[in-house]
Amino acid sequence: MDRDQESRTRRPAGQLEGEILAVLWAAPEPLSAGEVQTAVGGGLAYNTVHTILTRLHAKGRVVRVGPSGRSSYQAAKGPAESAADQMRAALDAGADRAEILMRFVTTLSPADEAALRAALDSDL
Amino acid sequence: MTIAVYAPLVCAVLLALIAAPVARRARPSSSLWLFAAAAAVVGLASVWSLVMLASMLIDDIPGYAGLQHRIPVPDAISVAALVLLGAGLVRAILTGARRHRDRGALPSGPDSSGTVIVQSGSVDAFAVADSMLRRTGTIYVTAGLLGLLDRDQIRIVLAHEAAHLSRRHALARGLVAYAAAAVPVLVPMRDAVEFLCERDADECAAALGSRTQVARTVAIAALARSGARATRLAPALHRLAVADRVGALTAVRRGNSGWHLTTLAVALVVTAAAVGEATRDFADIAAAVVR
Repeated sequence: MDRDQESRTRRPAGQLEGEILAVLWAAPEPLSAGEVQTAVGGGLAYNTVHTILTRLHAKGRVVRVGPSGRSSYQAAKGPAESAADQMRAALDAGADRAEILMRFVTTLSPADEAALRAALDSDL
Repeated sequence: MTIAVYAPLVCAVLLALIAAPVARRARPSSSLWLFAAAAAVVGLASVWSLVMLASMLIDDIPGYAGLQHRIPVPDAISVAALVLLGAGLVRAILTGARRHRDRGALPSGPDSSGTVIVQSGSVDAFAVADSMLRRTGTIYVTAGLLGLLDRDQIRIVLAHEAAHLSRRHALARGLVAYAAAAVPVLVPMRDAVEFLCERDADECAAALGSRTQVARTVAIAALARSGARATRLAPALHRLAVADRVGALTAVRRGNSGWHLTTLAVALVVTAAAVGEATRDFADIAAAVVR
């Protein structure tokens, strides 16, 4: 496997943390490591999930609930969340075109909007 | 110097013309850096050409009138070059100031690196690199987007943004931002590189699932985002847009066509040779000034 290929298939650093945070954020109540493993899917090993949860806990991104050994996890309010609040304020204030942001999607033109709607409705 | 000095500017125009159609078809992983390098090289060469052209006003400075017979450039062109150079310098400085201000406006917590979920109903996801030269940075995803997508689609968004960071797209985008500021005719090259960064990240995300899944995720997010706000983009003939990304993901992979890359390579070689030639003549005139 060449380098290019490898950097494509391996999940880059931080991505698993992001996926696990997204799962915890979406859950209505704290999840155990096993529940997180099931929810994230993608053939992740239990140990990997546990390691990442421990790392997130050390960073203050998640809080442990319940007795040790059988603890559940939920997303925390920490420095990252205040960064998120700041970012929301920036977005609301229209920091929309900041060119140093690498955006997932930009706004569509009306013609593109129609074309994408048609594509989604058909085979996509 | 009568002809060669204009070659970088001609190449810049040529690149501007082929940028969008080539980028739409190109294989992003390889052509992204080729495009960025071409824009940077032609941008630098154009600036140097303008410097040489503008400096040919030397014979109008009292005491140097004797050089007039050696000057191969009409004064009108020299003045135009001087104006373009000044305008480019101002634009480059403004670009730098804007980027600096935008970075200052972003949160910088003690541990902001990683993924941050923004409790906002807007549909958005983006990555911000720690600096142009680093592979690290922060990924922001809004709750609005997370609520819209299923688990596989969320994984695709995160993989796409993580690819921006790990593949140093901030560096390519920074290079072409300055090139296009200094030499505005390179703006289509800047847009092409930004598009190729998105395409490259899409293809990286596709390694986790399928290209169709990525196309679908991009389309869902773009439609939701657009539905929420007024469209401000002016329609342009060759604009590269989200629809082109979806098109490229759903099309059979075509890869880079030979003549496109040949054109780029020829443009770079011609630029380098012409700049060398013009610089030799320039050095002769400069030597006469010193004497």
